[in-house]
Amino acid sequence: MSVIPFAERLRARQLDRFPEADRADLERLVQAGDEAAARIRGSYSYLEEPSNVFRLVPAKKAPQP
Amino acid sequence: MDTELHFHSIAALSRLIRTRQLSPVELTRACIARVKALDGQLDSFILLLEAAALAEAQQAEAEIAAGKWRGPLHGIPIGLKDIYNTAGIATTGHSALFRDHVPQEDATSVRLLREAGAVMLGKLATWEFAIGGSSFDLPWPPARNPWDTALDPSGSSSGSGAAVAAGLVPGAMGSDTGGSIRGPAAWCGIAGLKPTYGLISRRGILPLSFSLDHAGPMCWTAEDCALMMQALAQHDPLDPGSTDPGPIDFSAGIGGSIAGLRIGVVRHFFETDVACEPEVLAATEATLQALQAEGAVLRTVSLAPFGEYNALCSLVSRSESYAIHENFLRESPELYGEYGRVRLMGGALVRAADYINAQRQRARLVAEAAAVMRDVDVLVFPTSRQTAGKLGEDSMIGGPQPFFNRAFNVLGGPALAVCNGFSSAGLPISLQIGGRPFEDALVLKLGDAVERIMATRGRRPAMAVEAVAAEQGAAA
Repeated sequence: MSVIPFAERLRARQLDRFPEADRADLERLVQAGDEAAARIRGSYSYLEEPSNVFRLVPAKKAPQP
Repeated sequence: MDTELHFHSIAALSRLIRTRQLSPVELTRACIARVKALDGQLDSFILLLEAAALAEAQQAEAEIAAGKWRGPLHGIPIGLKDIYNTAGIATTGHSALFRDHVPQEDATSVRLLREAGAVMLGKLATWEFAIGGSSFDLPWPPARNPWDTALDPSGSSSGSGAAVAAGLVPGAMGSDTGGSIRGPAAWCGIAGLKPTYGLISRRGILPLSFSLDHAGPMCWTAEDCALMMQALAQHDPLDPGSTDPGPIDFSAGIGGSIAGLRIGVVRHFFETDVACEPEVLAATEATLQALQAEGAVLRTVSLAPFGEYNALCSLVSRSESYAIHENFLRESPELYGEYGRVRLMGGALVRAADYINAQRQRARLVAEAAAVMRDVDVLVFPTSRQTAGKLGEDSMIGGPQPFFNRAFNVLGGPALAVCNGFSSAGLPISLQIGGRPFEDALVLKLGDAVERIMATRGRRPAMAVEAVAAEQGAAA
């Protein structure tokens, strides 16, 4: 996976106008997030899906007139 | 009035109220006086609802006098973390952004507390939107730790932890997305339950991360948490995450024997995954030995490394919280404090695939823990690797996290923090007890046993004890 510089990532998300004072902390946080993402990146079997549940409940119908 | 009322549990106060040895009005007045006397040092309250609370207490008193006792919370003052919507009363999230936010309706949990007869004493300090940190750049100062006001009570339910520990209010509501009930419970030396996901409605609570958010009680004892859970755990069709497991008696195990209880000790969390302070390790071992002496059966068990839970929880909570706050962050970033703004912005740069992988990995970890918990009834490990840190030293950006809380946000099962000892400096140490989904009563049972066996409930912060002594001196 290509590594995109932090400043470019900020620009892409239109976050580059946020206070300059925040940048150092944000960069540390983003770096920690990248490490977290790398830690759980891997192969996931189709058999394990769906891990994210989209659940529907039966509709309540109006009584017939 | 007996000034030691401030150190009574909800269970004890309730017995006095029910037998009309104590008036809810008298109790509420005492709590209000206590807040006025001590909260200048603690900053745990954002808003004291003096007139409304007294009116509610008068109503409770009249009902009880008429023989209409609603249950153990009737006439008991409760504090609300200021992310719980209260009809006609500002709910600020401790943020300038929501300074003028006045909801039309109570949160479901607030409504249930009112129906149980509880008295709403006030709105409590929180980390900004339950994520920011102990910040000094918000409209209200951060709450302080009553065991040492130079220390952090932790968060995000910081005001709830501080107010309960100092005896300003006997019970409070917190919320827990990555440990925000159990962290302050640990550092303030009280009991805090993150219930099973979906047991308490989140409707009307300012959201942070919808798949990890939990509402829950924070009290002096596990028994009191059980009493609050009994009123709070009701299915709410307005919260899509709400579940209906049928009736649960949360107090069923309180005071009971733990002989034969199978306790899984997740040793790798605190022995190899994260370094702990020696006094935390010593308190944990002392507690385990004491539980074994009471007949509990200890087994060492293994889960995924704690770092994996931490990584997963962080990716999910950042992504979901950014989605909630994105518009506000783009339009009014200056209205956030620095900690809140930075933490929320961190979610803008998480890839969608990484968020989805985190949810996939969550399903694996849930299955793994369920398999482990076929052979043990509960899991235990320390709540925090250390005692309370210094106020203003942000522990959430970089460096090792102080808490082992995120595992049970990921798993969704109940997790209770209870005080199991004190450091040589007199600061509370906490044990965490996790259970299978919907076995909250079992977790509370063991928490109650730990409090009794380790005899930690007789000790209060010095500032609170001195205030009582001063009141007694003035009264004499």
